Amino acid sequence: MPVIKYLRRNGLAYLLLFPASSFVFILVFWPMVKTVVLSFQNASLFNLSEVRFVGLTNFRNLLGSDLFWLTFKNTLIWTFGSLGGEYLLGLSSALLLNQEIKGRTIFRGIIVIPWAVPVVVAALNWRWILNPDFGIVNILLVRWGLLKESFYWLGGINTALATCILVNVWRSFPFFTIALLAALQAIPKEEIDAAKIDGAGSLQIFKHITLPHLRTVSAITTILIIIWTFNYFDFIWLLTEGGPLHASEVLATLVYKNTFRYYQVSFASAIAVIMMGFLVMFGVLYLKMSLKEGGK
Amino acid sequence: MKRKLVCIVLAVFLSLIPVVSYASQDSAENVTINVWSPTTRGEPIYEGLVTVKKAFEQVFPNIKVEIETIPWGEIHDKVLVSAQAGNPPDISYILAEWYVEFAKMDFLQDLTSWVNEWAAKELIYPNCWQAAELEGKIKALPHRANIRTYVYREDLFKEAGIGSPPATWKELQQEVGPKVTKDTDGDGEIDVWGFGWSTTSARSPQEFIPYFWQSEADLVTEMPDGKFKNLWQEDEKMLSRATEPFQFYHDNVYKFKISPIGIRNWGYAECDTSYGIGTIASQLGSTWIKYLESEHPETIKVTKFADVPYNRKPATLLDISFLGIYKEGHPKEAFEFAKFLQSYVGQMLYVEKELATHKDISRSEDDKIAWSLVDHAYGFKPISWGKINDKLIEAEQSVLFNKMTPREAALWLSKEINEALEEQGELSSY
Repeated sequence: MPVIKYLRRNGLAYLLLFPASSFVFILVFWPMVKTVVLSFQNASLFNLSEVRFVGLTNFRNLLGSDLFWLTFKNTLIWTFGSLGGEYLLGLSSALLLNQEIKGRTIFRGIIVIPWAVPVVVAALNWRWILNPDFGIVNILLVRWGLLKESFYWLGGINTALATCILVNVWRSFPFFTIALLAALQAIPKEEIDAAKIDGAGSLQIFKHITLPHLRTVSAITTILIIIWTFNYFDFIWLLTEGGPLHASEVLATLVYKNTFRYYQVSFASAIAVIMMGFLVMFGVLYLKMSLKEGGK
Repeated sequence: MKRKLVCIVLAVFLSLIPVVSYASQDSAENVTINVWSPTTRGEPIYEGLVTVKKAFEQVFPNIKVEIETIPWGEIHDKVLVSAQAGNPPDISYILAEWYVEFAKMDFLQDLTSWVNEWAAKELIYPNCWQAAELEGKIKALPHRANIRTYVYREDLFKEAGIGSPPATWKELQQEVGPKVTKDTDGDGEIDVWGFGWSTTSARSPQEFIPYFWQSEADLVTEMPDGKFKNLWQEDEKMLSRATEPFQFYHDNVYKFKISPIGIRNWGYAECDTSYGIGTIASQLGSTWIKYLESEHPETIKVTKFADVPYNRKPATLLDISFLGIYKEGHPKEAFEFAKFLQSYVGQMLYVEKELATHKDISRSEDDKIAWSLVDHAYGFKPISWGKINDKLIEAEQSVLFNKMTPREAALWLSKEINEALEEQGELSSY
C-alpha cells in the first residue's frame, strides 16, 4: 500500500514536527482565525454571552468613520516616513562605515546602540529630551536662536507625528546600516577597480556598481521594515499615546484602545483584519523575493 | 531503530509538557495565592507587604502567598488578559475607574456575605464601603483612598505676597495666579506659572471631573431605571454650566495666562516634575505627592494643602483603589489574606499612611486637611469609564487647542458619553 509506505518513510518526520507545529497553530493561526471570526460578530467584553454574527457591520462602521481614515493616513505617513528616513540614514552610514577609516570597528559598534536600547528606555528619554520646559533640544534651539521660545514637539498637532517618525528613524536606521554594510562588503573589489581604471568617478561607481549590488538587500529589508513599522505600537504609544487629538494615532494604537480601553473586541478585530490584509500583500512580496533570492 | 525510539519518546515528551505543567498545581490542602502588587522591591510598602505575608503564612501554614510586582500601568491589561483566559491572580490592585468594568465582566468574587460577617468592617470609612457597593453587592475591598486637594508651594506664594490659597476659581485666576506667575530672571519668558494640571493620562479625568461637580453639571446622571445618561443636550441650563470647566481651563492659558501653553498635552509626569522643580506653583494632588520627596526634598518641605478652588459649590474627588479578589482560583483564601492587608497593622505596613482607609490610623496634619474635605468628596459613578475618559480628554484638548469652543466641546462630549453608555449597555431609556 503506497499510503503505508509513505507513512513508514515520513511518519517519524511528521511526528517530530507535531510539537512545534501545534505551538505554531495554537499561538499564530488560531488567534488569526479567531480575530477574523470576531470581526464579523458584535463581541464586546461586556456581552460575551450574547455574541452574534453581524456580517459586515463592523467594517461598514469602520470605513464610514473619519477617525479610521485619519488613522489610516497617519499609519501610511508613519510607515513610509520612517522607511524613507531610515533607508537614507542607513545607506549614508553604511557607505561611511565601508570606508577605510581609523576606528572603523568601534564606529560600527557604536552605530548599533540606538537599535540595542530597549524601546521603553529610548521613548522615555526622548520624551525628556523633547520636553519644552527642561528638554535639551529646546534649550539648545532657543540658545542658538533657531527658536524664539520652547516648543512642545510631541504635543503639537502638526508636529507630533513627524517627531515620532524622527525618533523612530533614530532608533531603527542601524538595521539598514548593518544590512547594507554587509551587502557593500560583498561587492567584488575588482569591479570597482576596473571601473576606476576605465575612468569612472565616485558617483558613477555608486550608480552603476554599488546600487545594483544593494538592490536585493534593499528590497527585502524595505519590505521587512514596512511590515514591522506598519503594526509597530510601542514607540507611538510611549511617546504620545496617539495624541494630541489623534494627530499621531495609527491603526495599531486604535486597535489597542478599542480592545483594552473600550472593550469593543469585534470592532478592534475589524481594524486588525484590515491591517492584516495590507500586511499580507507585503508578506507575500517578501516571500517571493526571498524564494527568488534563495533560488539564485 | 534505537535512534528512532529515542526520537519518538522525545516527541511524546515535548507534546506532554503543557499537560504535565498544568497538572503540577498545588493540591487542595496546600494552596498558593498569587498577589499582583504595583510595589517594587526596596520600597517600604513592599517590605511591609512581605512582613504581612510572613505573618499570614504563620497563621495559615497551608496557604502560601506569592507576590508578583506589576507596575501600575500594566496591571489593568494583564488582569484583563489573564482573567479572560481564566487565569487571573487571586488578588490585585484595581483603580476605581476599572472596578465597575471588571465587576461587569464578572471577574470579581462577590464578597458581600464575607464582608458582612467580618467584625473589622466597621473600622473602614463608610463612604469607602459606599464606593465599593455595586447594585447592592461588594465586589472589592476599598484598600487605599485619597482626597484631592489644592497643592501649593508656600514659599512661592509668600514671595508673591500671598497669605492664603485661593478658595474660588475667580481668586485663582484673578488674584493668586497672576501674582505668582513670574519671569524671575527677566529674560522675557515666564519661569513660574500659577497653576498646572494633567491634560492627558489617567490623572486628567480625575482632576477635570470634579470641576463638573462644582459646576453642578455631572457627566452622567443616574436615572430612575438605575441606568445612566448625560443630560446636557436636554437641559440648556445644565449645558451652560457644563461649559464652565472648559472655559476655566481655556482662560487659565489664554486669558489670565497663569498656565503654560504646553499644558495642552501634559501628562502627570510633566505636571509633577514641573511642580517639583518649581515651574508651576500649584496643582491638584494630595498628600501622596510626597512621593516626589526623593527627587525634590525641598519642594515637599514647602508644600501646603487646601480645598480645591470652586465656582458654584465645593467638590473634590474621593479617589479609592481596591483590592480585587478574583472568582477563579482561591477566593476564600485570598479573602483571608486581604483581611490581613486591611487590618490596622496591615494598613500601617502596606499602605502609605496617607492613603489608609482604616479610620483609626493616626494621620499627619496635612493629611487631616485632606480628610477634612470628606463631606464634599465624591467617587466615580458606577459605570465603565474607559471610553468616556478618553472622550473627556479629547474634548478638553479640543478646547485648549482652540479646535472647539467650550459650548461645542460640551455638546460633542454629551453625545459621545451617551453613545459610549449605549455601547456598554449602561444608557438609560428615560
